[in-house]
Formats: sequence, C-alpha cells, structure tokens
Amino acid sequence: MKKTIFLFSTVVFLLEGCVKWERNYEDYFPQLTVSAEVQSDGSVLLTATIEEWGTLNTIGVGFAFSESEDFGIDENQLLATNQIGDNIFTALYSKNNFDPLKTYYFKSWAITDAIYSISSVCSLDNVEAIPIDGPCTYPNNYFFMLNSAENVYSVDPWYNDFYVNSVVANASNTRITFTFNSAFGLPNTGIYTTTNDDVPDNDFVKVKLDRLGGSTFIRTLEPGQNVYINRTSPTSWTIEYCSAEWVFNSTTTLESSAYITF
Amino acid sequence: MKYLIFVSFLFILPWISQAQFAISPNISVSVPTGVLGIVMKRSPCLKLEFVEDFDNKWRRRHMGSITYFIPRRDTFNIYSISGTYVTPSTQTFNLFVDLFYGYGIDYRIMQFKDFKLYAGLGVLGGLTIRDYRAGGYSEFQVLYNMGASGRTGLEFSFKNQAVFIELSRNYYFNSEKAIIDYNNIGAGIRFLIP
Repeated sequence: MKKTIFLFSTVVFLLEGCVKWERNYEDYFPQLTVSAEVQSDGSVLLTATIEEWGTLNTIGVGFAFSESEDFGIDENQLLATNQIGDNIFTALYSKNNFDPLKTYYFKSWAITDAIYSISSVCSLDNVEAIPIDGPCTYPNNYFFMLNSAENVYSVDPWYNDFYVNSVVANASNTRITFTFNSAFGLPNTGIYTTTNDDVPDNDFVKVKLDRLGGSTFIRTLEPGQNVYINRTSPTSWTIEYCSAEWVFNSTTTLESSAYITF
Repeated sequence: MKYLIFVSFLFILPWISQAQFAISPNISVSVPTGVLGIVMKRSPCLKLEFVEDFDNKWRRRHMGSITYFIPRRDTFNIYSISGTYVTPSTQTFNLFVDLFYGYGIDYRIMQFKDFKLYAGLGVLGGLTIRDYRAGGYSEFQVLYNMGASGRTGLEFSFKNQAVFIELSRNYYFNSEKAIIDYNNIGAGIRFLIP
C-alpha cells in the first residue's frame, strides 16, 4: 500500500515536470513583421503580421515610429486598432505626424505574459498626401467677396503665435488671414474645415476676412466649410475655397472664394 | 499535489531502518521550466549526497545542491502598462543561484543483477540568491524556499561503488510567481562509506 502511494506520488510529480524548455529563445515569443503605406490623405497605415505566435500568450500588438533608426516601442506609440483574420493588425497614423522632407522608421511590437518582442524596422520618406483639387477653378491669386473679384498682390510670411501658425494674403480691399494649429508644424496637404476658434484644432482653419476698403469690418468664414490646402513644396502652398459662406449681417449671408498661391 | 507528496513521505518514513551510507558527488544539468525557463539556459548543477544502501527496497538520502543559472541574454525586454500605454524597460541578471538541502526516500522498483531502477521523493529547504536590474532599480535578493523533489534513476553497482544516472524535478512552494521550478538530469558515482 505504502509502496503504491509512494510510486504513484513520484510518477505524478515527475509528470508534472514535463514542461518543455524551448531550445530557441525566440520560440517563446511572437515573431512579427511590419509594413507602412502612405495613404492618399498623407496618413500612414501600419500593418503588423504575426508570422509565428510562439508559446507565450500574446496580450497586445502595437506600433511605434521615429526619425531615427534606433528607438523604443514607446516612441509615438500607437496600439493596433484593427485585426484582420488571426494574425494581421493595423493602425493609422495621422498625416499631422509627418514632414514630407523627413524619413521615418517604423516598427511593430507585441507584448506577452512576460516579455515583449519587436519586428524589424521599415522606413518611409516623402510622406505626403496626394494633391487635392477643390470643386472650383480660379486663376492664381484670386479673391472674391461682396460680389467683386480682387487680386491678391502679396502674401506675408508665415508667423507663429505659439499655439497657431498664420498666413496673411493681401488683396486689393481685403486682408485674408488663415490660422492653423501649430502643434504639428505648418499645414500639409489636406482638406481643412473652417472654425471660429482662435486656436483651431488639427485639421481645422480659421479664415478671417478683414475688409479694408469702403466700409471696414471683420468677418470669418462660417464653420464647417472646406478649405483645400496643397503643400506643393516644403515652402510653398496653395489655398483654395469655393463659394464659402460668411455672414454679412443678421439678415444677409454672402459667399467668398479664393485661390492663393505662395 | 504537493500535499500528496508530504503524505506519502510521512507515511513511509518511520518504516525505513538505518543502513550503510554512501557519499555521492553528482554533476548534472538543471533545466528551468515556466517563466524561469524563458530567461535561463540549461545550467550546471553540483550535488553532494549521502545515500543509504537499500534496505528492503527502501533507502534514505541527504541531498545538497547548488545550481548556477545562466541567463539566455544579457538583457531582456520587459514592460509595464499604465492604462493603455506600454512602457518598455530592460532586465539584467547578474547572479541567479539556487542552493538547497534536501531529505528524501528512494524505492527500488526493480533490480537486475547489479542494476537497480529506483524512484524517490524528498523535501527541500534552501535559498535562491539573485542579483538583477530591472528598469531603473537594482536588487539583490535572498529568497528562502521550501519545496519538494521527485526523481527516478538507474544505478550500477560494482565493488564498493555505484554509478548512476538520475532525473529529478524540484518544485518550490513559493508564492512568488515561477521563480525556480526546474528539472535536473545528471550522473554521478557513489562511494560506500566503510
């Protein structure tokens, strides 16, 4: 009896030790790859593919990027937001993160119960949106307001007021000021939405119309309308809006249009 | 499971009479399992044991062991989570040594000429000494352990010696997750003490 109990206990104990020790360290962790693709609006789609899951439980997948090749998973970190099938994970970085002049390096990572693993690094340069065209056609340096067209004869340099970047276009009778959020630098190609906020959110713009000739007044384009920005080079832009509304007085809403290159 | 081992052990112990002892040096390989196995290689182990001769198929042994665990990497990628943000860090092991004293019982399952096949259980008490750095802090720890071991082996006796190979498993009752459970495979020689 005691022999039976003893041997049984011994066998159970030894069987409990049948836990595999992986010869290759990498076999414990997910092995993953990463790819990055610029989207038409200048955002970057990151895709992580789990090539091998490993023996540990994978808790989460994410991405990181930097302007240097050697960086940690906490740099510009983004968790995966979509899963395709069993082993593909994606996330989208906003275009505001990128400068077309710079090269960016991306990696994906996966965390397990114990340790995290990372993919190799991929890179992208010329991260910029496909040029956009508004639904109207105007000659260069054109401005329309109060039923008359004006010529934009000059554009002042960009100026920064800590939270915002602004540029002023000078037309015959009107000074037009475009104000953007400065958190991500000067505006890149994209469609921006008008707002009345003095510090617009990203992807928004405040357009102020400062009438100088005749009766002077200051108005802004009504919120929620499109302004089309093309950054044609690091130091040149076109700004266009088509028949955007502004409120002249409590009873009258008028339209304004512009196509400005600088 | 661990309680079953203790029951077995206590049930059998009073029925083993004292017999002649042999001194038994033993070189083996400790194979860490669980989380320890992720970070540690199969590592060298030295044992010194005092083992009785079998008396009516039973014998006792005193066991002393030291295993010097070797990390698989210089540094390991660890992390912490705050909300949904993952903060990476690294961990480095400067020292990871396991020492124990154990007391056990073997049962001779079968004997064919001078070959003996046996199995055994034992209880352990000892230390794990570890020196590591994780993120911004470093720590030197001495952990006091209690545990159990199971083994099976084959020995060949000749003159006043015996050579053997043995497979064993150490299982510790620590509450801290997965420190030092490991398997052990080794070989040695027993010198009968006159």
